Amino acid sequence: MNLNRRKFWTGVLFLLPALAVFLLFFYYPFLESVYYSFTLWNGSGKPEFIGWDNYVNLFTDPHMTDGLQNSLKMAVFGIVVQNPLALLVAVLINKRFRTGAFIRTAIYFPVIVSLVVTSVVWGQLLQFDGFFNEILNRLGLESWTRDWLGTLKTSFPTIILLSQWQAIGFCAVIYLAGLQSIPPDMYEAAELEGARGFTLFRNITLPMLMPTVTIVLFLTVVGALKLFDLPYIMTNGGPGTSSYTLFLAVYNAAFRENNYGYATAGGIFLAVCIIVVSVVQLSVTRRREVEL
Amino acid sequence: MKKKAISSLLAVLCVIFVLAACSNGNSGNASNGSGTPVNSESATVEADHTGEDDAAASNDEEFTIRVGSWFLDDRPYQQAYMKAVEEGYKKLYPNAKIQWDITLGATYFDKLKAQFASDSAPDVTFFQKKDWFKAGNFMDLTNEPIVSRLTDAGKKSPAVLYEGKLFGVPLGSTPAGGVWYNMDLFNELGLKPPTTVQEFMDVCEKLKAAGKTPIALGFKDVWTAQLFMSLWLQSYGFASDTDYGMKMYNGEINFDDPAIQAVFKNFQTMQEKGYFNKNALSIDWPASAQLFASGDAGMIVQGPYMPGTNKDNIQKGGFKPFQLGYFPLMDDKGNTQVPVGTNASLAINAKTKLVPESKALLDVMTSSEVLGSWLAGEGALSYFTDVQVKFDDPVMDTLKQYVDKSSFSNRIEDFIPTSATTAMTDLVTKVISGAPFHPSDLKAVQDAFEKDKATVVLPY
Repeated sequence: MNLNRRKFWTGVLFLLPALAVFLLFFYYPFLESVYYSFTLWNGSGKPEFIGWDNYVNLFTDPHMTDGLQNSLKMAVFGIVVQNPLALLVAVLINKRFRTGAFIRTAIYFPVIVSLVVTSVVWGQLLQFDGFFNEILNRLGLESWTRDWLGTLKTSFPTIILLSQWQAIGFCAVIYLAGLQSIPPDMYEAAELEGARGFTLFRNITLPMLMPTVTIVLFLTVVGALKLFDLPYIMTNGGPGTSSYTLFLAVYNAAFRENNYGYATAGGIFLAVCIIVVSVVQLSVTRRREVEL
Repeated sequence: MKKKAISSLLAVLCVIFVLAACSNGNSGNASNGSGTPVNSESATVEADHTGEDDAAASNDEEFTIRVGSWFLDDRPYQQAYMKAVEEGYKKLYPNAKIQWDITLGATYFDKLKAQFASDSAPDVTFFQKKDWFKAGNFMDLTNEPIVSRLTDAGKKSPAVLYEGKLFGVPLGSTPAGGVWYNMDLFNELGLKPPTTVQEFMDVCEKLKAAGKTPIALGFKDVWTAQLFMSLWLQSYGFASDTDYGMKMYNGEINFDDPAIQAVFKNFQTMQEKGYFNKNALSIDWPASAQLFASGDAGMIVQGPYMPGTNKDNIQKGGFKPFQLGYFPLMDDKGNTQVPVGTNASLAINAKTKLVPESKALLDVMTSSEVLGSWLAGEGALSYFTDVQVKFDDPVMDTLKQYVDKSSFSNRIEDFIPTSATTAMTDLVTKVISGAPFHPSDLKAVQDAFEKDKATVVLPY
C-alpha cells in the first residue's frame, strides 16, 4: 500500500510539469475562448457579453455559410475522389518495377514543398496570361481560357484540384505503408485457391487495409475542414465569397474585421464541426473494419 | 532508487524554475516595451528632452530603441527616410541603435496588438486607428513641446485626439486618391480628363479601341477593390450630402440606396465592356502598377503615393517615362468629393522605459529635414507648421486643387462596420469576376451592417 502510494505520487510528480503546461496553454485559453465567443470584443478593449448573438449570426453570414459549404465540399471530394485515387496510386507503386523508387519519390515530392511556394507558383501558372491558358491557346481551345482563380465558377474547384496535387501523394504514402504491412503469405494462400486480380484486392487487400483507410479518411476530413492556406494565399476567399472556407472566414473575422468575439464563436463552431464529422466518419469506417 | 528518481526530478524542476526566473528577468526589458537597453541607467532617465544640446551633452549611453511600422518598405523615399532618421538620432545619441520592427501590411496591426498584450511593443509606433489609445497603449503627448509644432488641423486630427488629449502626432494629411492617368497617352489619343461618368466610359472605350487596357486593376489585394469602390461612393454619396455617412449609420439610408447601386452598376458596365485587365482578380496592386507604368494601361485607381511609385516603376522596368495626370471619380452629374485623411501617426508606448529617448526620436522623425521629403514621397501635406513639402511632380498641384474643392474628409468606412465594408468589397470582386449585379446582393451588406453596427466608432 505504502509502495503503491509512493509510486502514485512519483507518477503525479513526473506528470505535474507537463500537466501545468497543458492546463496553462491549452485548457485555460480554450475556456477563455468559450467566454470570448459570447462577447462583442475587438481584441483590445473590454469584452461586452452579448449572449448567443455571435452563434446565431454565424448562420446568416455569407462568409461563414459559404465557407462551411466549401469546406464540406472539400471533405466530400477528399473522401470520394482523393482517397480512391491515393489508394490506386499506392497499389500501383507497391508493385516492383525498375523506376519504382523514383516514382514513389515523385509522388511524395509535392508534400515536402512549402504550401506557400506551391500557391505562388500555381497562382502564376493559372493566371489569365499564364502557362495553362497558353497551352489551351496553342491547342486551339481559346474559348476555354479564363482567369482560373478569378471567376466564381472556377476559383474553388481550382483550389480543390490544387490541394489534391499535394494530398494524394501524402495519402498514397500512408496507404503504401499499410499495403506493405499485409503478410505476403495471405496472398499466396489465396492464389493457391485460385483468387486473382480484383478478387485478391476485394477479399484481402481492402479488409486488411481498413484500419489505414480509417486513419487516412480521418486525416482527409480534418484537413479539408481546416483548409486555410491555399485559399488565403491564392484568392483570399474571392471573387465574392466563392472560395471562402470556414477557417478563412474565421481568420478574416478576427484579423480583417477585428471582430474577435465573433471569430472565436466561429472557431468553436469549426471545432464542433470537425468533432461531429470525425466521430461519424470514424464510427462508419470502424464498423466497416469489423464487417470486412 | 525511487528516492533518487524523486531527488533528480526535484533537481530538474529547480533548474527549470531558476531558468524560468532568469528568462523573465531578461524579457522584462523587452516586455515592458523598452527595447533592449544595454546601460540600465538609460532605463531610469526621466528628464525631459529639451533640445539637441542637452541631449548631446549627456547621451553617450548605448541602447537600442525600437520603432514599429507597417509601411517602411524598399521604395527609395522610404529607405531615405529611415537613413535620415538614423543619422539625425546619431547626433543626439551617438551610441544608440534604432531597431526597425517592420511587418508590411495589415499583419503589423495584429502583431502590434499581441505585442501590447504581452508588454513587448516597440518604444515608438506608427499607427492609424484609435483603438490603441482607447486601450491605454500610448503615452499622452498633450503637453509635450512637439504638439506646439502641429498645425490647428493636426491638433484636432481625429486620428490622434481622444477625450481632449493627444495620444500621438499625425504626420501627413493625404487625399484618399483617385484616377491617375497617362497624360502622354491621353494627348496622343486626343483624350481629355473626364468630368462625368459617361465621359469616363467614353474615355475607356477610346483607350480600349486603341489597344490599351483602360484601367489596370490589382484586386488580388482586396484593399484596392475597396479603395475603388469607396472613392466612387464618396462622390456619389457625399458630394451632394455631407451627412450621407451619418444617415447610413442612423438607418435613414439603406445599402440598396440608388447611389450605392449606381456604383455597382458602373462596375458591371465596365466589366462587361472589357475596360479592366483580364487578370484583374489574380494580380496584386504592384503588378497592376507595373502594367500602368509600362504604358499598356491608360489609367489606375490608387492613392496619392502613385506619382513616386510610378516614377520608381518606370525606372526599374526601363519603361518610357510619361507625365502623370489625375482626376477624381465622379457621379453621373460630375460631382466629386476627395476625402482627406491622415496617412500615419506616431505615438510613444505608454510603458516604454526609454521615455526621453523616445520623445527625442519623435522630434527627429518629425523634423523638417527628415519628414518633408518622406511626405513628398507619400503625396501628403504636412501637419507640422515647420515642415514644408515640395512635390516634384506637377500632378500633385492638380490633386491639391481637387482636395481644396472638397468639403468633407470622412469616408463611408467611418460610418459602417468593417464587416459591411468587407461585404461590399466582396460584391465588387464578384461583379468584376463577371457575375451580374442584382440590387438584392446588397442585402448581405445590410445584414453585416446590422450585425456589427455596435462596433462602429463614429468620427464625430
